[in-house]
Amino acid sequence: MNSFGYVRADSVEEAVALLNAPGLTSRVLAGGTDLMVAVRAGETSFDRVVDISMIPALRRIEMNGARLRIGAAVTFSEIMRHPLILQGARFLADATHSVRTMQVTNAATLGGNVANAAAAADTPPVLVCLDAEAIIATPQGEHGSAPLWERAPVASLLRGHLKHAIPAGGLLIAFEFDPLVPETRNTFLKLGRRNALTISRINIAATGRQDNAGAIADVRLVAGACFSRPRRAHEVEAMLRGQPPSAALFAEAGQLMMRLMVQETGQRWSTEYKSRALAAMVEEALENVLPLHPEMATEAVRESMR
Amino acid sequence: MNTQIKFTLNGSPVMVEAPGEISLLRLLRDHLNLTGTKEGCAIGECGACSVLLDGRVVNSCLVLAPQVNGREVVTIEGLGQQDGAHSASDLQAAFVKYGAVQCGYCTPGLVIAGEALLRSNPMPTRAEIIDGIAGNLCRCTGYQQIVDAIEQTALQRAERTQQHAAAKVQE
Repeated sequence: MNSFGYVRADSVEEAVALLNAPGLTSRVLAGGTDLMVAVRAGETSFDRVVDISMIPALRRIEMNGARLRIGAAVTFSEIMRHPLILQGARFLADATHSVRTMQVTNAATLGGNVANAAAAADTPPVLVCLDAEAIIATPQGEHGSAPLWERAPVASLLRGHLKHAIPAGGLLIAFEFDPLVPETRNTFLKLGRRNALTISRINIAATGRQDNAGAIADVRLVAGACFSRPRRAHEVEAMLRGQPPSAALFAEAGQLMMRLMVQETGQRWSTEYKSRALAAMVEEALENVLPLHPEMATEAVRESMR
Repeated sequence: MNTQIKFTLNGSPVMVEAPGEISLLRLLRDHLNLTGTKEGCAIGECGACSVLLDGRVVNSCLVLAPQVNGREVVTIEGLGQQDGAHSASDLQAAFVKYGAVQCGYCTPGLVIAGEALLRSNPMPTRAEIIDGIAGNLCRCTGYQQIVDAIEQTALQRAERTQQHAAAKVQE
């Protein structure tokens, strides 16, 4: 069995100092849903885990001025029912709910989902869709005892499957974004092999807003598990902006997204299935956030999806 | 490397010396002799090792043992306890009555998940019950009897609460 030590940090400063203690390779432990599986599989690249899951400052969901701030150690269960999130970023709650199993959502954290950087993760596409920023404490001073607080777009931290760009010895503190205004619709769609306890084969996070005449004023679209990393599909968004929504336009958007995926990731064994599924999911997401008949699109549709 | 772990287990304080790199599941089974909590997949997919940690259901195979320091853990052995004596809880009795137990391996985890669900949502719909046990796999029953047992326990508890309230009014 691999042998390593355990230490619990009570504050951000203590955590960063512990993570940067000389002579030791330390790993962050939060919900454990990824790390414990790796440990069992024989992961031995560290001497010590630093448990950050009990640090009060990392466990809050709150407004920071006009921005919505979610602590990195907030669990999926806390996100899925928090009023600020249900109001300002409902699709983030939907993404955490899509995991379905209480045992996992009670432990798994938002920061862990980003830092693990799995291509099939559920929440990073939503954070990227929200143009969320990560707040990171990086080591500074003797053994990192006086951490520096930096900001970086979440999209810039995700570097491909299981690769992140969080600075060495740094710690994710929180995520911040502008909550969506009520006129902006949002949706999270997930295609998995089962309904529960499954990773995303494909997921889509999207937001959309129409002007008074019904034309597309704003649209954001992110596909997870399709590209080398989650990113806004600016090419598709630009094609949609300013147009009146129509089934033909959405079908065209789906085809464009499909071509982008194949262009970037090449032909794979799954491409024949995945490209068609992606196109259909893009159409469905756009229908949800840019309804052709807004008066008929009700919350009941969303409830039936949850 | 052994470490000292102090926490509340099934209502009583415990202190145990154990390696710091084992899971809570191994701590319970190998160091505290509480073998009601089962190891199924050991990677957080089957729910057989479910316990309540500070009142929330988690997979004990994904909790590092020293993480429970200063916290409260309830295992299947703690559910039927009342004043130190062991007897089946109402939910455990319902599992027996409605045929929700076959090979029994998933049962402790399912009872814990069912209990966690009923504590947070005392009157769940069948759909909510199915959602609530989504993290627990059972290869024998086909789940219907398990859903029945949880549903009937919810009804019984609601009835008892009503009777209590009525008795209070009469007093």
